[in-house]
Amino acid sequence: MGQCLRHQMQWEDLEEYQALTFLTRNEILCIHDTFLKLCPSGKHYKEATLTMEQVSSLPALRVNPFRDRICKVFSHNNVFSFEDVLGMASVFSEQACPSLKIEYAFRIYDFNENGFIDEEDLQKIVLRLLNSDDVSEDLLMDVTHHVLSESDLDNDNMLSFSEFEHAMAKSPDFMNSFRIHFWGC
Amino acid sequence: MLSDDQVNEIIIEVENVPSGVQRHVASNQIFPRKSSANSTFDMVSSSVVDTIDSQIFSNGNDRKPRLLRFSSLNESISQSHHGPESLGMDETCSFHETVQGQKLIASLVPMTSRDRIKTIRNQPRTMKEKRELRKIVDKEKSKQRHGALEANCCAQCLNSLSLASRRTKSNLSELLNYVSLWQKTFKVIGGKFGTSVLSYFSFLRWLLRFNIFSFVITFSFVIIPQFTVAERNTLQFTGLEFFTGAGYFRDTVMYYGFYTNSTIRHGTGGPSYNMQLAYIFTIGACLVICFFSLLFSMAKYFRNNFINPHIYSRGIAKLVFCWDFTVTHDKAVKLKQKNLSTEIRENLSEIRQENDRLTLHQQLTRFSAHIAAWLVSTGVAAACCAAVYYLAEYNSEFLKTHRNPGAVLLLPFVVSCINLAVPRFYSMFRLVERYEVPRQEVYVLLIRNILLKISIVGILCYYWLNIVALSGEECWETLIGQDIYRLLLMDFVFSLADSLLGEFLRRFIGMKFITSLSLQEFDIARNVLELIYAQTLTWLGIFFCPLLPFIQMITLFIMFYVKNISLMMNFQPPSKAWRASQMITFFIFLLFFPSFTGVLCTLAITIWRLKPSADCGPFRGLPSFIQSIYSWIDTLSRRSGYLWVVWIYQNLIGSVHFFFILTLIVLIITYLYWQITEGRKIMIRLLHEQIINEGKDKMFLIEKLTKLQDMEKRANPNALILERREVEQQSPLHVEELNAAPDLRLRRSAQDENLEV
Repeated sequence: MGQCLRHQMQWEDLEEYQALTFLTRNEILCIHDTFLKLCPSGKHYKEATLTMEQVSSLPALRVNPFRDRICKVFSHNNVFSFEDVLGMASVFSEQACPSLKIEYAFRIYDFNENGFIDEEDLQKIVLRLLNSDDVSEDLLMDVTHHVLSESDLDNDNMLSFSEFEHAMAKSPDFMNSFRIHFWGC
Repeated sequence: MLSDDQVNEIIIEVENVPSGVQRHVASNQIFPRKSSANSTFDMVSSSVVDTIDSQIFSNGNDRKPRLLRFSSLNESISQSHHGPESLGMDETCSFHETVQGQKLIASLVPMTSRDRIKTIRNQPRTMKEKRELRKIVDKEKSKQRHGALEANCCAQCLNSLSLASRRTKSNLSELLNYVSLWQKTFKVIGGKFGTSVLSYFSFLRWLLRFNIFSFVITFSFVIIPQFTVAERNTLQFTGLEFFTGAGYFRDTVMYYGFYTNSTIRHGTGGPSYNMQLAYIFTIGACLVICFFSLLFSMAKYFRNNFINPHIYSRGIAKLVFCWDFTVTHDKAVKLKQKNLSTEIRENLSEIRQENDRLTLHQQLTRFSAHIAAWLVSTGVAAACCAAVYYLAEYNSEFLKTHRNPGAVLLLPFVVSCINLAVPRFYSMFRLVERYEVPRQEVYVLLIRNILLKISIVGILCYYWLNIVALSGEECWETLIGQDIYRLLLMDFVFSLADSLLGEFLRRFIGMKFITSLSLQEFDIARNVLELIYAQTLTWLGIFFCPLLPFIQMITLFIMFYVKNISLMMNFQPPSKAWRASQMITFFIFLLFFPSFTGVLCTLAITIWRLKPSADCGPFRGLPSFIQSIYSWIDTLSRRSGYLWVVWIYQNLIGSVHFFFILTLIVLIITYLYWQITEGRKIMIRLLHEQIINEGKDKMFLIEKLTKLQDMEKRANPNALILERREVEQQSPLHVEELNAAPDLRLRRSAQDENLEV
């Protein structure tokens, strides 16, 4: 894979990215470098795109059980532009605000994209988490039932965004674990 | 029923979501929202209602049932309506043309630029949309500013100033990040072991900061001036001093006894430096700053991690949703998945068991097991304390007769052995005791261990302050300093041996001999308690041995690398989901409550009650340590320029009335806050019930709507247009019904009767 045109990032662009995302200057430059290494040759970094497979195979995402959902949520038309990658890194950075993290976590966990986390989504989540072949139907139903009984406040067998937010906002462990360090910078 | 400043309205969104077909979303605002008079921009709520388009009846492949999505929208501007908006937004209308976008822009324009940047950053939108938003807001702002030309240059100056300050602040924070120790190592540890093990290392780094700070202050204000008037050291240096702290080190800046009590003056008429005051004020300032820093950290962690006791969750939801995304190691992920599976099963079985009520016999057995365990643990702790006390007494007799310099190490050795063996003995109680909540087990173990360690330190303090200080020895403060130094060093040696020898040995045995033994797990609680114990000793000894923070700094530094290497080679990731943040809050609380407050009490007793030794140290010859401050105040009161200091001292610090009034005010404020908390708990419960009721209303409306639509369909299958209009007319009807929310439930029974006919 060739390299994009080695275009130095303009200072104004860097400033703008710093203002619009939660990333530090070093992190943005690191991501810029790695993006240049991966994208096809001959293109300016602002026009080049990465495929979902390329992003999925990054070391930070390679073993994540939810990497396909992450790629789906943050990409546009199934490709990643440089700004999409920055947006993704920004949401997963340490400095991101909790409301943003909760919002994107909800989108990631909503497998069927109907705006709610329903039983079907929960079962898919548990299967991904356990990743083993001997997960019985009973266990899935049990876990789903307990999750809903804990977090579903209006008893409609689905988690709306508010209920998800309510459950996660109280949990500092969520904030600490919903983080990914991209590219070892 | 609803409180005045939070108006929840229920707005129906009737929409059909055929799977696989993209939604066309047309946003229309139908209902203006009531906003309270006190609303700031953060509380302005926008309501967006999506109405249905022609897809309701046209698609035959709508597999999903129609969803009536009720959202009680009380959003702040920085949160957006959930849903994959980026999907629906970029086709028919761009974001800033929607009503929601208009409201957002309208709220952003009057904000300060810092708030504006923060709000735009918090939006869950793509970079392109954020950039457009920023451009539009800037345009609006410049349009508004267009009129006021004379204020323009001032505003521009201010703007550029704020921009420059923001830039420098971001540069500084990046520099700080760069300088911050061990960033890369933390990322590696977090990636391999998760956030829980990482919390131990962050705690270590946090304690290191305390020690660096204390060292810098004592070095600049106490040690350097002493260097300038240092006397020559006439003692021999043998290698044993590093362990015993006696010998050559006795006459160095390390101990209290070396410090002069004079007022250092270089050259006639030059500035003078009162060593007594410097000593006591420096140590005092160190401890006061540590106190406030601990207090604020504790408050911050407590506020972030406080879990509302109303919403007690067993934690299955947390296990499902809080997957640790920071883990990037392949094997670690697989292991984590296996452990998660075990843990979910265990939790489920516990819930099932919990629901069976225990018989009286079982309850009694459990209770007696708890009592027995507590008695045994307290008894063991008391026995250890007594042993340490008698050993200390015997030691001083022993040392008087035998002059072996290594014999002083006996007491620290015994203390470290106790600290090594007894916690492991406490862990074995797990076989006998059973707890309903497994978390309780960890807390109880922690409390028992900290009790043991603190009582040993306490009994030693008692021995030092009551026996050694009054024994008439020549320089008792130096002796105490040496004792503390030896304890600290022996503890460090034992930790090193435990890591380097014990853990490697265990892994070796596990690999070669007993292959069924898996890799060990990092015992976070025990290691953090060791850190707390060492820090207690450091704080205790800072008065008697000002160089102790420096020694503790080096110790922590070495421990970090040793533990890191041992972790990478000998351990596996933890199997249980460890609630790292709650534990850290508890550890900081333990650091504050028995540890730091105990140190403060001990030092208070020393300074107020004890008589300094007559021949050595900065307070030699005074009747008490605090006398230096009294005499300073006396000197000041004779000088005219400093009377305000004397006034502050006499009326604020020294007077009882002031503290009485202060305590009363604090108690009143605490009582008020407690009442507010109670009120809020009641509010939460009421709101929870309200949400449940509204859910029931939603179900009712779904049924009603589907029945009505079915009836329409059956009655007139060809008139699509008619039906669409009817549906659109029904939505406002429904909402009007809903606006009379309290009556809805009554109405439901009447409707039910109607429908069933």
